[in-house]
Amino acid sequence: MRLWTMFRYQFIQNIRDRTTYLEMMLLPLLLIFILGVSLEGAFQTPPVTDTKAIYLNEDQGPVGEAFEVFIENLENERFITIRAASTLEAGMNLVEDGEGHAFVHLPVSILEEDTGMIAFYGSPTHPLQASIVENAIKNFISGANTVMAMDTTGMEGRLDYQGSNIVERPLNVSHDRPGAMDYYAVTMLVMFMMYGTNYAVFGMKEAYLSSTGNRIKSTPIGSTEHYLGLVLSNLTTIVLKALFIIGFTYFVYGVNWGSNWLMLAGIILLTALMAVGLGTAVIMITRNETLSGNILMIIVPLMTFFSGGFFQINIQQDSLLYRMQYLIPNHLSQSAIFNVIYDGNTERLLLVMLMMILIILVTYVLALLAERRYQI
Amino acid sequence: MLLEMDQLVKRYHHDIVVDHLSLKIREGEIFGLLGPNGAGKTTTINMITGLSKIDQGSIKIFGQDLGINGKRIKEGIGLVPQEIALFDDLNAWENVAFFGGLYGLKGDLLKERVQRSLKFVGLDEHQKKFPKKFSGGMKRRLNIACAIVHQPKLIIMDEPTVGIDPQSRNHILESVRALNREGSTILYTSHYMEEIDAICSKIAIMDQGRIIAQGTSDELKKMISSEERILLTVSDISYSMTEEIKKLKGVIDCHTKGQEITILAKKDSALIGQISLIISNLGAEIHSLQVDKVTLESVFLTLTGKTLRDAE
Repeated sequence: MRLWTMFRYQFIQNIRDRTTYLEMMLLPLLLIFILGVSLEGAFQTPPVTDTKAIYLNEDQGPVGEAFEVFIENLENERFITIRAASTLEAGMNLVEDGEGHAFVHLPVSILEEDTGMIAFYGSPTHPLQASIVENAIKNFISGANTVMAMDTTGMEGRLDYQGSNIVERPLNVSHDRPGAMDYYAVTMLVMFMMYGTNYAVFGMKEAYLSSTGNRIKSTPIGSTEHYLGLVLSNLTTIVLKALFIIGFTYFVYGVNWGSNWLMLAGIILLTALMAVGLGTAVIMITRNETLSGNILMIIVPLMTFFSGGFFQINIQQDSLLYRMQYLIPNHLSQSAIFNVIYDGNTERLLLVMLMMILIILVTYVLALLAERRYQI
Repeated sequence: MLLEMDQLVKRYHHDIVVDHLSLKIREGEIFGLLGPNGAGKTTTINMITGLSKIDQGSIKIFGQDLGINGKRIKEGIGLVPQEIALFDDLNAWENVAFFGGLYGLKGDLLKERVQRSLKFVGLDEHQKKFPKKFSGGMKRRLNIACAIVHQPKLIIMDEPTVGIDPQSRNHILESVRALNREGSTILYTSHYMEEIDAICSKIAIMDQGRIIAQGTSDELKKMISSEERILLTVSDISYSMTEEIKKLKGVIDCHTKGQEITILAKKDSALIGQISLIISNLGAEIHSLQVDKVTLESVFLTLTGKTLRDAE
C-alpha cells in the first residue's frame, strides 16, 4: 500500500508538467524524421556496376542456342559486361587475371555427353561480383541442367529462355538491413530513454535526499518501499515514453520494429532500468541536482555519439574502442534492439543483455554505497 | 510516560552533539524545547523520528523501544519539520493525501482525513492550488496539515513558525492549542521564547547538547527571580565604565551595544544608585533606565550566559 502511494504520487509528479513531458516525446519523433529523411542516402547500398562475366559456348545444340539468347538479353543489363572466351583455358586465365569475375562454360554436345554439365567458375578475389553472375545465370543453368538430365533419361525437355528474368531490388526493401528511419528510430529512442536519467535525478533529490525525503523517512514506510516506489515510478515514466515513440514510429513512419515484441519489451525494460540506475547513482554520489543534471546532459549525447547514434561510425573489430562500446549503455541497448529486429546473432544478443544487467547492478550498488556513506 | 529519552548521545566525528540527554514527556503536554542553533534540538528530534542513529542511550515512545518497534511507533508520530517539506508539483490536497497514504490511510477515510486536516489549518479553499503559489504562512500551515492527517498521538513541531507573518503565526499557535485539546501530545521547538512561554505547559532549556533546566514557565522564572535586568541608554559609553560596573557587588554580567548598557544583576535597590554614580563620575549622562521583569529570555540568559538571538 505504501509502495503504491510512493509510486503513484511520484508518477503524478513526473507527468504533471505535461508540456515538458510532451516535448520529451515529440522531440525524438521530430529528430527521427529529420535524420531519417536527410540521411536516407547514407543508408542505401551502392549498386554494383562493374561485374564482368566470361563465357564459352561450345554447344551447337538447343542448350547452346538458348544460352546465346540468354546472353544477348543479359548484355542489355546495365550492371554487367559480358565477354566470350575462345577456349576453356583462355576463359579460366581471364578470371585468374581479374579480367573477368566469373566464367561459364557450356561443353560441346552437352546433351549427348553422359556427364555433360554447365560449369561455373567464380573468382575467389571478387566474390561479390562472382555471386552476382552466379545468381544472374542460376536459373538458366538449373533449367538447362534439368533438360539435360531429362534428356539422358529419355524424357522430353524443352529449354525456351525468353527475355531477362533479373529484377533490380534494393537490399533493404524486405528490411534485411535498416533504412535511415529504422536506424534513427532505434538510436533516438535509446537516447531519449537515457535522458530519462533526469527523472531519477529529480525523483531521488526531491523524495529521498531533500527535507521532504527526510520527512518521508520519518513515516512508517520501509526504506525498500520508499526506494522501490521511486524506481518503479521513474521506470514506468520512461517505458511509457518509449512505447509512445515505438507506436508512433511504427504506425506513422512505418519503422521496422521486428516481430519479436516480447524480446523488444524486455530490452526496453532493461534500457529503462539502466537509465534509472545511472541517474540514481549520479545523484546519490553528487547529492546535487544541478550538478547531476549537468553531468548527464553531457554524458548522454556523448554516449549516443560513441554508439553511432547520430551517424554510423566504423570502428575496427577487436580494437580498444570497439570493446569499450560494450560499456556504453546506448550501444548495448541499440545492439540488442537491432539484433532482435534483424534476426542477428543470438550469442551476441545474450552477451549484450548480460552486459546491460551488469551495468544495472553496478549502478544500483554504487547508489546504495553512496547512500550508506552519507547515512547519519 | 509518552516519550522517554534516557542518556541519549549523538556524535558527529569527534563532536558530541547530544550529550547524555534525558527527558520525559507526559501524555497531553505541550512540551517546549528551547535552545539556540547548534544546541542539538533538531538532532534530538531526528533521533526520535528515526532519521539519525542513536550512538548511546535509548528512546521509548508509547512505552515501546524505538529501536525494536520503530515502524509501529512511527505510525503514531507526526513530524512538522523545520524546513518546508512538501512537493511543489503536487497540489495541497495531493500533498496531504500522499502523507496520509504513507501513514496507512486509504479510501474514504483518507479523503475525509485530508479534508479535515486542510480545514483545520484553514486551507480547505485552496486544496487544488500548488504550494509554489502559497505564501510562506500558507506553506507552513500545509506543512502542519501533512503531519496531522493521521491524527497522531505525538506531534513533533520543529520551529514551525520560522519566517512567517504574525497573522499566520497566531493561526499556527492556535492550531497547536487546538491539537492539544483534541488529545495530541506536542513537542515544540522554537527560537521565539514568547511562543514557548505562551503555549507550552512544560519547557526544557537545551544548550550544547544538554538539558540545563526544565520545568514549567513559572518554575523556570522562579529559578532566577532573585535577578533582574537593567537597561540603560547612556550618552557616552566607555570601556572603563563597563569595567567599573562589572566590579560592583551583585552585578553578574554587563555588556554594551551602541548607546545601550545591559546589566544582569542580583536584585538590590542600592545598585541602581551606584551605577548612576559611576556613569556621572565618568562625565556621561543617563537618557533612559529600565528594569525588566523576569522572562524566559532572561532565564535563558541567566542559564547560558547568552541571549537566544546572540546564540543564533
